[in-house]
Amino acid sequence: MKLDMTHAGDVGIIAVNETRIDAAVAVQFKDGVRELSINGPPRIVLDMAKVDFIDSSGLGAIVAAMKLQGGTRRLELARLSPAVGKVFRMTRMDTIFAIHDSLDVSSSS
Amino acid sequence: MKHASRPPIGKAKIPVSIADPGCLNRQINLISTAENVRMALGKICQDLIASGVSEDKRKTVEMVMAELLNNVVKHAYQETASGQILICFACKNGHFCARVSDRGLKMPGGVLPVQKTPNLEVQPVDLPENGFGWYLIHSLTHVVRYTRKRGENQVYLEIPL
Repeated sequence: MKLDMTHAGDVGIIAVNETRIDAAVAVQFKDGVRELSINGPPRIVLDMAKVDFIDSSGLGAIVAAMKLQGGTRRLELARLSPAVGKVFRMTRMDTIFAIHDSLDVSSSS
Repeated sequence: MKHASRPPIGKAKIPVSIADPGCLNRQINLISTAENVRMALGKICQDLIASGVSEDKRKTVEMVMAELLNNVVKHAYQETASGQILICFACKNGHFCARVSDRGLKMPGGVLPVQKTPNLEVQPVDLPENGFGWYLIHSLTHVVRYTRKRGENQVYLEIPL
């Protein structure tokens, strides 16, 4: 599970360098995001540009990653592909996460 | 291989499943691991590309089949990574039709889980991480049926293309 974090101001951007977040890698994804975000910046954005498939395990792992941020930190998502966006809309998870079209996330929303 | 029987002349259009349940001529055999599920999904997608199915519809098929197969890996075979799964599928009459068979534990209560909209009206710490799979399956399929015979689970489904 390739995750790479960069910083943009007070935002940590975690690029998911995988094409799938699915049952095969859900646990590694959750653990990887947790490790990167411990002691990290107050806002974390997952850059999902490379991900073209998630299943319900992947969705659950993203929810779990958000819950691990605790109350003080938000997990946001950016650049969802059409197929991934559809999963979020169908499950109404798009009402739970802040979802950005681009990585221009510097202003607080 | 059984061939389709034609519907009687004069009858109203018969759903794909009743007209021709047996003739799903593409087959994939796999052992129940998440990696093998990925492989099987890849093969199904290759077939769909060759049949000219749009990317949007391919993703829908892949999502439904991923959920079903993951359920077999996790629940029917309890993550033992050693159970046989047979997928029979075909595109017919504008539908992707598939039958997934396994010899694992039967579905709890002997029936498919119902379609439940995940409840998101909770505190963030209580948001569900599970339970989306069957909701997605029911939402995206035209038909989904479960039977159990002679120690074998069979789920049959149709997805409009």
